[in-house]
Formats: sequence, C-alpha cells, structure tokens
Amino acid sequence: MTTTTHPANAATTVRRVKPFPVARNNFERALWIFMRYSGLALVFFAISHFGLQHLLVGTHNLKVADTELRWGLTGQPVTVEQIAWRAYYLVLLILAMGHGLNGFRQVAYDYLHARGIYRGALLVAGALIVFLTILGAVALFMGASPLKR
Amino acid sequence: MQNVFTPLITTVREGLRYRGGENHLMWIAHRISGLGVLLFLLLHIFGMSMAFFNPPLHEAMLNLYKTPLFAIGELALAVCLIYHAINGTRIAIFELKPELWMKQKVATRYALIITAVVTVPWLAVMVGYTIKGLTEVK
Repeated sequence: MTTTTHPANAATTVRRVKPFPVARNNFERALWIFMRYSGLALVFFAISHFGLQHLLVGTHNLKVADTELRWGLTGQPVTVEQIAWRAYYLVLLILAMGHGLNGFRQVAYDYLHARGIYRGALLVAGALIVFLTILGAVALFMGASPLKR
Repeated sequence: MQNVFTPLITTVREGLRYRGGENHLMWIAHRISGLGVLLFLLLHIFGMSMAFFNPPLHEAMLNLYKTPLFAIGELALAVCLIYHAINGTRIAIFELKPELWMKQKVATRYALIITAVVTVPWLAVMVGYTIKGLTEVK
C-alpha cells in the first residue's frame, strides 16, 4: 500500500491499494469449505446415528450382539445389509473425526498462544484422532470378533 | 506456567465480558459443545474398535455407558450434539449464502427455539430409558 500525491491535483491524496488476493491460502480455504459441507452431512449422519442408538435402541439395551449383527463376524461372509452398515459407519467415522480435528485446531489456534504449546496440543490431538480413525476403520473392515464366555 | 494459561484465562474472561450479544455467546457455546462431543467420540470410537480387537473390553465399554455417571454425561452429550447440529446448520447456510446476512439475529433466535423444541422431548425419552435402565435389577 503506497500513499502518493495525485499529479493532477496536489490537494488530493490518492491511495493505491493492491487488490486483495482472493483465496490466498488454499489449504485453509479447502478446510473452511470442508467444515461447512461435512457439518451439513454430519447433521444427517450423526443425528440419525444418535437418534437410533439413544431414542430407538436405548443405552441400557446396548449389547455386543447388536454390533455383531451390524458389522458381521470376523471371517464370516458379510451380507449386503452389513456392508451398508459398515459404509454408513465409515462415512460417519471419517467425517466426524475430520470435522473434530479441524474444529480442535481452530479452537487451539485461538486460545493457545504459545507456539510450542499449540503445536504440541495439535500433534497430540492429531495423532490420537488419526490413530483412532484407523483403528475404527480396521475394526469395521474386519468385523466383530466372537465374544467367548 | 502463568505464561501458558494467561491467554486462556484472558480469553475466557473477555469472551464473557465482550458485548457481542447472543450471537457471540452462541459462538462460544458452539466451540464448547463441539469439544464435548469430540471428547466422547474419542472414547466411543476406541470402545467400538474393541469389538474386533478385544471383545470383552468392547462389552465392558458398552456397560460403562449404563453407569449413572455416563447416564448424566449422555444427557449432556445429547444437548451438545443437538445444539451443535442446529447451530452448525445455521452457520453453514448463512456463510454459504451471503444474501441472508441481514437476518442473523432472527436466525439465531430460530436456532435457539428449534434446539429447545428438539431437545426437550429428546431428553424426555432418554431420561425414561435411563430411569428404566438404572432401576432394572441386574
């Protein structure tokens, strides 16, 4: 930004402003868009999952047998229904964890001003979330192991 | 130690002092509810993954949700999730459609009303399940 005197009229100050570059940081821009659309998708996925488990099933009715029924058992052939359940949970898992990680990053960036603390918090949260996402995806892909009593 | 937490304390204090009205308070509530849901999700995904890696632990995690402490947490989780979903929908719609920006205040009020309308019956059903679950003889 430079301030110069306009040659035609010495009393007029003309400020030449460089046009603000649109979408300078494409990574942040992509994440911003991701947060909006993943959020809208999660309204369907998360609320349907939460409603199913807490309103229709009820927490005190939770059983390992339900997990086995939906995921299928390890080593057993999977039905079309179980593939659909796994796909549903995989989408939910990846969207929720991506949305949560970036949300955490934004909150941490705003409140943890010491650079080392911010980076450390992000590293711990990022490692934990990526690890759990992979753990969950592997478990979904493999199915439930039979529970021996 | 003081250097680390000073910004955090300042933010909390100034966040409450800042006179941004209900939109500002909802922005703070959106962050808190989001972090709350994330915290439960970490536990939940770990517990569900154990269905493959360690089935007895998976069953123990499912039974953990039936304890009184988690029954209370479940109600908080429901409020956080419903609020975050409805307020998030408002944010997404408004930020993707700039032509609506003059109606922020009305939308905020609607988001709060819808949250209340959805949350109250939702919690009522869940409390019913909780009471049934906690009073059942194991």
